[in-house]
Amino acid sequence: MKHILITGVSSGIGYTSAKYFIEKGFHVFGSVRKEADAQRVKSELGDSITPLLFDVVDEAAIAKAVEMAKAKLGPDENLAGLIANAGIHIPGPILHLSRDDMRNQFEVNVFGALSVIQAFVPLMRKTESQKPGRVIHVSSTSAAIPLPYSSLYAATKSAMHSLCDTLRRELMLYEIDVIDIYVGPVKNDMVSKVSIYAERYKDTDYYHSITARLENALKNTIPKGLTEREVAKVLHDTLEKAKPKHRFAVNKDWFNTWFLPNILPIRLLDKILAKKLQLRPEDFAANKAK
Amino acid sequence: MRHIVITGTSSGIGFATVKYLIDRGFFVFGCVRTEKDANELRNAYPEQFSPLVFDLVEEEGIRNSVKEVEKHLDGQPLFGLVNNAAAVVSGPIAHMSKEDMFYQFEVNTFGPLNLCQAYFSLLRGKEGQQPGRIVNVTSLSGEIAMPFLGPYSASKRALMSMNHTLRREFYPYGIDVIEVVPGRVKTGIIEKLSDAGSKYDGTDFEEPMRKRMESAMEMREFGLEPEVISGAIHTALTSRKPKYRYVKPDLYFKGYRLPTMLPARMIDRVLGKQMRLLPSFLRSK
Repeated sequence: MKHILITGVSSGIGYTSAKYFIEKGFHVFGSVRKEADAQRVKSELGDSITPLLFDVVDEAAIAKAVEMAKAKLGPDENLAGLIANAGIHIPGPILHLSRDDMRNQFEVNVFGALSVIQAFVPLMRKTESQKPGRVIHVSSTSAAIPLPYSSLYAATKSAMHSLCDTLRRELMLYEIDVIDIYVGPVKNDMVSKVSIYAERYKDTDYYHSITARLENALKNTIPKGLTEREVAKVLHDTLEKAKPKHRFAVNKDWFNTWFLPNILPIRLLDKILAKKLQLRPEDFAANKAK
Repeated sequence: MRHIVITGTSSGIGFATVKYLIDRGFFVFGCVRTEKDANELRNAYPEQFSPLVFDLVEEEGIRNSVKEVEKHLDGQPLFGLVNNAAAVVSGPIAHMSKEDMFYQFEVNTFGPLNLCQAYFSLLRGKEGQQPGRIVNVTSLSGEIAMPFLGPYSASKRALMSMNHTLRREFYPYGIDVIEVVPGRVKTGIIEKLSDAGSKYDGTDFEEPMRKRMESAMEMREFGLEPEVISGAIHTALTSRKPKYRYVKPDLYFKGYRLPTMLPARMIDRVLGKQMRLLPSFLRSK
């Protein structure tokens, strides 16, 4: 039996991936933050999932989960994979974000992800019969193309880009590979969650621009996005592949959302983005005059 | 007179840049953490200089410094803010504590962001004034993550990302945000590394970590003069059409082009061999 751990399985990519891995014959340890989610996931996905109740920011709870997972693993069994998927997105213009917003955003997406990896590495070491496990970090294309109002989120994914490199190099000692996957826009309910936040910036210069960015996401980016199942398949294939790439992007609208922004001169991209997102001096002046 | 606020001026790049800018006619506010450092700088530069004493991890200190600068400027705009100060947390990432991670990011990432927010009004200036510029000093480690510099490299990579979003979000206000990316600098971060050595004795990383420290000490005399980076900072502040980033590697080909061009897996193996991180080293113990 092959075992993997996926963090953040209560919804989204985490949930769909748990389901996908189970279909492929895996036993999945899935982290959730709430007891109610643990029960729901268990009843929906059956015996092949073992919910682990922990928040990635809670080191004591993670330590307990490690013990639980250890007890469940047979002698000579290890974790074939750890999918660091759990993450949050604190949106907003940098000018109006607080230092606590910075701390929260990084504590979950970077320090929390690292705590989980550190805690579960001992269970991923190779055994007599099993190969060493692999760490897969679910990143975002915003690590390469940071967009306005997602600054903190993009910065955490960039920090993880660097940490994945460090982890990959240092964990070579244990033959544990670390893979960083830049996932492009996904069709899910993230947008409905973030649209509420625009109202918070109603009295700032950025309000119209934030609204423009959200409308653009709803109309263009999200409908053209990947399905969660497509992402789950990539995660599974990456875990099974003999020689996976250390980093790659998965993307639907590859030309517009990946190739073009990566090839254009940065100052030109700035201008295009500014026009599209109403972030030019004249836009701000026009909005003021209204 | 053109006024600049620059952080981390007690040593290294910051210290050199204070002199570099004063020599070119600027008035410099140099940020340090202690009164002692402030006095040393005051004695060294009796004119065109004023120290600001605060720690980047404390928001109140940052806010108070803005009031001090505002009073001094007396209606003139602030020409530039240079985020140069940095701390270095070093060690094997598998054993890095959350506390150490927090400290690294508080100083290298959250602190600079906080300064960009706090000095925003002064940089923007009043109607009719030319807005100032922000220069963020990052590091080549943000591009090429070296083993045992995980926290530092990640904090700088995060700042690199923020540099893009800051530049895009401050664009409508006319405040440009420019990145300066230094490679190895003499008397640079190596001085700050020495205390991390023995903390990880007893782990599998004890020997690689010691090797790393030794080679860092051997390399301490190699690298760029800090004035080279001061020059890049000056260009970023004053050029009529600045680039969005200035990369200053110590060795252009070996230290920058090659490692960013070669396949990552190949660099992994080279570093693994150099730093005794290949699985065979663990088996041979």
